[in-house]
Order: sequence, then structure tokens, then C-alpha cells
Amino acid sequence: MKFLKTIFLLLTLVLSSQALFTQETSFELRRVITVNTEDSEIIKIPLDVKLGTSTLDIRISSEIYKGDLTIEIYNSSDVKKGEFSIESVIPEGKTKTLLNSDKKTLHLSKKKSVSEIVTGEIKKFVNYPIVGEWYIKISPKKVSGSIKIYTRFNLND
Amino acid sequence: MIKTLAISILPFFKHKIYCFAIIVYLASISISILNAQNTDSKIEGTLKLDSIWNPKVYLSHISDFSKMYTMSKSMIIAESEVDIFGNFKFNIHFLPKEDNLFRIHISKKGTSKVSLIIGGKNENHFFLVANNTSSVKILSKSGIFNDVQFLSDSKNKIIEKIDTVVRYIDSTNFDATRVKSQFVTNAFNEQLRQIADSCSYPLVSLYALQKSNFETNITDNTGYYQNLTKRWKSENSIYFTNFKSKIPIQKNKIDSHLLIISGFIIAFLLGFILNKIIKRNTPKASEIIKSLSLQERKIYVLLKASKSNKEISDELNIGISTVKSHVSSIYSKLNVKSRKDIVNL
Repeated sequence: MKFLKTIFLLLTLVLSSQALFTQETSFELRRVITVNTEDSEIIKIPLDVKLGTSTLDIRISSEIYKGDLTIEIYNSSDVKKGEFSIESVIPEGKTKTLLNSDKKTLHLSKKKSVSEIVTGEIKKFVNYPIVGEWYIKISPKKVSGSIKIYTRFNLND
Repeated sequence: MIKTLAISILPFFKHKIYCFAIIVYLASISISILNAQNTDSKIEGTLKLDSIWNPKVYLSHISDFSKMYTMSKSMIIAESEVDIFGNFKFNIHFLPKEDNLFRIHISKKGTSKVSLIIGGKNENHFFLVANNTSSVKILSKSGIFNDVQFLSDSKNKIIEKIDTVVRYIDSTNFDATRVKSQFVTNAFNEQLRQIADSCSYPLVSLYALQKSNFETNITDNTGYYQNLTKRWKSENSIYFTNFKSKIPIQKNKIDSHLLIISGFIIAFLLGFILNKIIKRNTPKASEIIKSLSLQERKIYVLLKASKSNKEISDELNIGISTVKSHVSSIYSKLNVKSRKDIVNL
């Protein structure tokens, strides 16, 4: 009986230690980018997918008041894995008011044109992603708005 | 038979009132047909919405497949309230008569109506094909647009089938290793290409191809895409022109045949012309004979008649050595080597 108890204890120990050691490690990355530009400079955000990464979770949401914004996700082999574009065109009169007014008026004008706000969101979950440098490509065209990026890498120990 | 019918109908036309009644009757029939066409063209459906969503659906026109995941206010062409039972309806009599791609979406409460959510459980849109005579009925029992069913319209039932295949790809990728997911993706993309190949609605076929990521497959399967462009020769909308521009142009077999035939003709003509030139440059037999002396001409005639030197010598009363000398002179003037050549000349 004592022998059986010892075996049972040992087994429990082995199993619990296995569960402990095979735990997944994960790390997250959050970024908020405010875009307020008249030019169209492309922004590339690298995502370093290391060996042993079991899952990659990418969530991007954006909100713009004017301009065009394209967001693309590429893997390390340069293959597009997801994209979306949002376009917001403020009527001519409103654009003029926004450009010529002070900060207070600008705020009011933005509030008035809530109907002009355009939002886009993409959720991408990749199992066993290809190792290497993935990247998020942000292509703004005279954009005013913000982009929120959340990435989570799960690594097997 | 016709004559008797005409005779029997004729009296009715004599009375103006009957004529008027017939015209009114025909007009009412045509109006009812037109009305039936207009009332039939609609997109309607039932959704199960929870409290996070605005009870409004929006219909956007997707003018090009590259704009499938583009959201802009200018793309929204109609909106409809969702009633307490989840019903909505768009009248679409204003749509073009040709099939076009559309997107129906919904927005979260407190956000802009111009919003697009891709991926995840809260994906807020789905696609459909319609024209001004379409009658589309949609049902979404659970979730938002994860299980959209098309209850009518054969084109959109195929769209539903395509979306189901794409969902299989996504769900397999969610819990499979990379190698397995690659195999599964390839198999499902092949299935999408088969749907595209067998579908009789060009725009729906093109939708299937778009979902199969055809651009990565063009180099491996060029013939397949070239056949499709051939099949869609008469399709000139932007959906198809963009697709066709991505497919390498098929080398025309007729052209290569024509090239061979024209090559033969040119060779023949060249040969004919060369022959003419050579002939022109070659002096005629009569001209050559004129260059012979009188005695040589007599010997030439006898040589033509296959006479031997002895016979010529006897006939012309000259010595054999003289005959031989003349024959040799004839040979050199006529540029021949034997008597046989002279006979054949």
C-alpha cells in the first residue's frame, strides 16, 4: 500500500512538473499611432516572429477623419495575409474650415462631422506563423486619424 | 381557320366600347407585369442582432474586386432599418441591369456607420451579387454574418457555397500546423477553382477565383486562366478587365499557322522570282546556236540526230579529225560535255 502511495505521489509530481514546464510564454505589443499628415509616407511596423512561436494574434483598428488609409499585413515571405482600406472625404467647405481655424474650432468641426469618421478593423490569428520578420504596412494619403495595433506572440517553451 | 376566327372577332371591333375595353385590359396586363418586375427586385432578410449593433444595415457597391475590403461613405448606396423582428429590406430597382458585386454591413452602436470589421466573431459584412431584377432573401440565425444563408437567388446560393469553403480554410488554419494548413488551403483553393469553372454566372465565378487567391496560382495554372478569359471574352465590366489584365495573353494558334503558310508562300514566290532571274540571265538555245559557224550548225543538227563522227564525216564529206575539231568547238560554245547533252538541249 505504501509502495502504491509512493508511486502515486511520484506520478503526480512528474505530471505537475510537465504541466509547469510546458507552459506557454506570451508577449504582447501595443501601439497607438496618430497620423496627421499631408504627405503620404509609408510606415512599416516590423513584427519579429521568433522560432517556437505557436500563435500570432494581430488586431489593428483605425479611425480616420479625412484622407485614405490602407493597412496590410505581410508575412516574412512577403505574402499579403490581410488588408483593409478606409476612405473619408470631408466636403470642400468643411475642409476649408478645418484648415483655417484654431484648435477649438477644429475640435468643434470634428465633432460636427462625426458622420464622416470612417473606421476599419482587422483581426488575424495565425497558427505556427512562418519565422522571420513580418510587418504591418501603413499607407496613409493625407490622413487625419489614429491607428491602434495589438499583437500577441505565444511561444512554446 | 384564321378566316373564320377573323370573321367571328370582326363584329367586336365594330363597337367602339369593345375596342376600348380590350385596350384597357391589355394596358392593365402590361402595367401589372412591370409592377411585378419592380416589386420583385429587392434584397430582404432577417438578422439576429444583439445589443451592441445599430439596428441598421447598409448596402455598398463594390465597383472592383480590389475594393472588397475598402470602406468609404461614397460606396454606401442604400440603408435599411432593422425592425424588432430583425427584418430589413432594400428596394434595388435602381441597380444596373448587369450583375454587380455588393456588400451588406452593419455598425456597432456609438461608432460611425462607415465601419468595416474583418475577421473574428464580429465580422460585420458579407458580399452578394445582384442586378435590378434580383430578388434576394437572406437569413442569419446566429451571430451576425457568420452563417448567412441565401434562401432565394441561385447566384447568391453559389456565393454562400464559396464563403463556406473560405470559412473551412480559415477554421483549419486556426488549429492546424503550417504544413497541414498549406495542404488544406491548396485543396480548398482547387475546390474554389472548380466552382469557378463550372459556374454559369461569370461574376460569381470571378468571386470564387478572387477568394482562391488566384494571383498566386497564375504561373502554375496559366492555361486554366487563359481559357477563362477566352470564355469571358464578351464580359467588359471593370471586374473582368482587371482580371484579364493579370492573365498573360494566350499565343494564338491561328496566328502561328498563318505564319507557317505565309512562310511557304514567300519561299515559293522567292523561288519563282529567282528562277525567272536565272532564266533571264541564261542565254536562250537559239541565241547560242547563232554563235556557231555554218559548218558547226550542220554538225550540230547531225549531232542532234545522234549521228556518229564517221557518219557526219561521210555526210558532209570532211575528214573525221575535222569533225572532231568542230564537235569539240560546239561543246565549248554550247557549254556541254557530251553528245547526250546536245540531244537533250
